Amino acid sequence: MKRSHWLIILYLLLIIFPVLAAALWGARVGHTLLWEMGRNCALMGFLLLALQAVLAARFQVLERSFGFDVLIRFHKHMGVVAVVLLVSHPLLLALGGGGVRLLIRLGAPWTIMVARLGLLLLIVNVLFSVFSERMRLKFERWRLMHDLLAPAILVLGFLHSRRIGGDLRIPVLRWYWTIIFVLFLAVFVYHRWVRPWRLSRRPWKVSEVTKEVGRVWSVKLVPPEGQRVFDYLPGQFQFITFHRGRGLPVEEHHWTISSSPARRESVTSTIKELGDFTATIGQTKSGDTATVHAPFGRFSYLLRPGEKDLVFIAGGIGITPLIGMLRHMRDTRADLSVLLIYANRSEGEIAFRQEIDQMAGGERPRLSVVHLLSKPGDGWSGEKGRLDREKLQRYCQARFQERTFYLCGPPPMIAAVVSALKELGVDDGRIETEIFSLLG
Amino acid sequence: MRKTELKRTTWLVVIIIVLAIVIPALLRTA
Repeated sequence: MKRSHWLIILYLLLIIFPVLAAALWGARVGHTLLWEMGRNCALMGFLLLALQAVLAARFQVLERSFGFDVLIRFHKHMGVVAVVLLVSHPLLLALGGGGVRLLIRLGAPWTIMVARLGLLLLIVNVLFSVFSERMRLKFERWRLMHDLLAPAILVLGFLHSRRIGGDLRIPVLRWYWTIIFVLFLAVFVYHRWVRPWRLSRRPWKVSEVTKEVGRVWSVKLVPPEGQRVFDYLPGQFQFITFHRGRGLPVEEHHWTISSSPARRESVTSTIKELGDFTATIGQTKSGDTATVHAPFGRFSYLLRPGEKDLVFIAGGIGITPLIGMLRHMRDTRADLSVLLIYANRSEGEIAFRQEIDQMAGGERPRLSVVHLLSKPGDGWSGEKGRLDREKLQRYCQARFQERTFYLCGPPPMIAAVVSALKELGVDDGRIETEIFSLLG
Repeated sequence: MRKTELKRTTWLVVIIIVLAIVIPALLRTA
């Protein structure tokens, strides 16, 4: 069994243990079925919330087993499940004998009021997380809110449950509850304060800032003296906090590493001016410092060593993990065939064009390139329009079963291409995509 | 873990949670 399976089993055991312990050792005081179910909902809902911190804390053991993007998706899903359980808790207690008074009584004791406040904050937190993109909430603002609400919710839930949770009178459960709560606090403090502080004591240095094309910049970073570049796979990403002074914002963001891990003296991320923060990326200067936390992500051809015939599909800035992989193949003279379909709006937006076209003439890897423009100028003689089923069929020459597809680009494009590939009979297991957003 | 496995795992966790809510409650009220 794989390590990821063991970790999932451990996760489930941690959540289920209190319910089983309560069923085995708890007093049978003649509550109704709905009441008991309501209580179980609370026990598991609280534990799900406490373990959310572990899922999001970027621990390498979890990262290597699942990948950061998958963990964050799972974290989001479990946040929604926790809300459903914790909203069901008072409803089931009320239906199971507590009556409507339990829900609407204004002069309830403080133990109930803290639970109501905690539940309200939880609903707000999850709504803002799930709909942040639709609300156009800035990432930093969302994260500040998330960081304030998450511990507040856990503290309120802990106070409520320890005070009136009937099953928590069982000694083993009382201890378990406290340990889990302390674990949550420890992970939270480590992830949000201790690790950033430790990383900031050994800052990296910006050694070069290059304009690739239009609004796309490459920022090269060198490690602090005496430290080497971390081991990473081509296609992985890193969290960077730039400390540039000059009134420029200090925010942590994640960007794909576009350099090749075969070259160990520096690490480069290629960044497009897309939002408020990245609009300032061109103002980064050589000599500025940065905090780096890496590597993350499981989007790399090296994780599928048996595959020899690859298709890379990039949309705009989605080229960054793929150029990292191509550079690594070139540096290691990888004996692979790669078809790169690179979609952009206009010719002026094609990043790394010269380098890619140069690579296309080489033997290792055997790279063929198709540039596709959705809004080409008059002089463009290459492929035009959107990447659809017909074009995929034409360029992949119907060899869909032997090839592995790596897709990175705007989500609507990726969704359309995945669906076209599936229609063409490509097995789901042969399609690798990068889910890159922490929000939405 | 691939995204399809994530979907499966999420559903598996949800199903186990639902069972862990219902079965112990049935045992305690039996």
